[in-house]
Amino acid sequence: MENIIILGGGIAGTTAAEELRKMNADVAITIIEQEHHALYSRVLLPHYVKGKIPREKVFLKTWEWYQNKNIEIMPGVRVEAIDISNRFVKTTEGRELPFDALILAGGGELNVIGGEPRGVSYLRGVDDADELIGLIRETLMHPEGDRHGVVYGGGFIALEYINIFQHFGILCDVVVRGSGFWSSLLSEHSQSVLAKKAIEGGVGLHCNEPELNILGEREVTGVKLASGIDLPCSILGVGIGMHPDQSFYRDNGIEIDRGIVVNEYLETAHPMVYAVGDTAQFFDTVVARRVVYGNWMNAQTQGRVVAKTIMGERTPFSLVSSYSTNLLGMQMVFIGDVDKKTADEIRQTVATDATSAEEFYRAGKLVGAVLIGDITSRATITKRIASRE
Amino acid sequence: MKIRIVVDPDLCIGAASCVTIAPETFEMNVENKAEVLDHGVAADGPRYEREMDATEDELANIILGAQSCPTLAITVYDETGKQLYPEV
Repeated sequence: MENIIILGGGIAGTTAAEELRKMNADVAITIIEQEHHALYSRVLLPHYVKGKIPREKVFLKTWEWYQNKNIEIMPGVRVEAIDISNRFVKTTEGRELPFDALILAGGGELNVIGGEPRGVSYLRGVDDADELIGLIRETLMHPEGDRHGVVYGGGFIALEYINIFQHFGILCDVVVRGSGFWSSLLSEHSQSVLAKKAIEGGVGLHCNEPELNILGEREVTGVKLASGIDLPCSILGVGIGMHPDQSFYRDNGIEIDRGIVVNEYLETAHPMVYAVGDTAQFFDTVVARRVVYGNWMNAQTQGRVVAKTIMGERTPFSLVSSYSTNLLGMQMVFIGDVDKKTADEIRQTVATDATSAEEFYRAGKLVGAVLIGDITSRATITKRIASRE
Repeated sequence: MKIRIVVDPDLCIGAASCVTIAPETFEMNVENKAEVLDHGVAADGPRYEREMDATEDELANIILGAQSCPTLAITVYDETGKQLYPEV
């Protein structure tokens, strides 16, 4: 093996490169990364925005690190075509790079709302975080009582925006398309616990709003909802999910469903072509189903596992994934497979004013759980899912 | 060798990746923050910082646990106070 190409320099791709280099000193390893940055932690972005850590602490690797490890990184470069049969990728600069193994680690594409004046914010990368910090500074110059942010979405990124706005004393309204936070996932009770927490924290919650129109031409001045409500704001934080770059992969002969389809070894149908991280729809042996998870540990561990497989030690990926977050300090954890549609049974095991726990079962086995407000049973539940009881 | 492990609870977001990799050394508390254990034991009660003996293999796994933290909330020092992770 002479050349390994990795599309995507996030945690999955960079970990794969690092592990490959540990196992083989000679093979040429090239990371092609669309962004202009060395590896950084997206998970640290909210800490950075809140001023808890300086900007340089967000970065996990320096440019020297790539040099020292003899890993070539091509920042700010996109791939426009993958030729699987002739084994090369073509960059937008027109370079053709041959590969013996190809790792697709490109993450996902952000869902955007379009027509975006200044003030519309996403929290995908470090550039977005820089911009958000600027917007927050400007908003804080408004008179108290006239500092408004609107959050569009009801998932993980939405919660980060709510927590950030609260941290800076920016009045916050949340607009969701469904009936509440994670409406397609959570029980009514779970949603009500989250809604109560948000409202008690001073958040205006606007549910079942199918449409949101931005007011203001060059700069956001507010949003207009389908129900007729106008909400003033100078920042609109958008967190409405991600999707795989379907057409790019499909045009290049790679099977796409909700992500790039791979087995438990992270192998696509093509020999020596792999997918890892947020972009991979992998066969999860723990819950016996193909899933897409967008979390750090999943991506990092997949990078590690795929490196072994490429170097001849074929290794299946197995992990009980979990996502942890908080809403205004109220802790919550999603463990394993919490897909409502594929669960046979969902048991609401805890339901108080301030707590909720749901367990997801398939074929009689516990495959996932949601804990809100009280997460003390997290370790026990993770073990139960891992043991496939 | 003797090592010292420190968790910054202000940075910890409760991802629990350290617990998955090194369950003998890290445990989540009720606030969803990682605490440090000495070979599965929290002598003198729960703590975010602890000194302990570790074999080379144990240390390698503890570093792996620290590396898995997406917020770099875990710092590992050797007995001379030299920072082993994150690399400086």
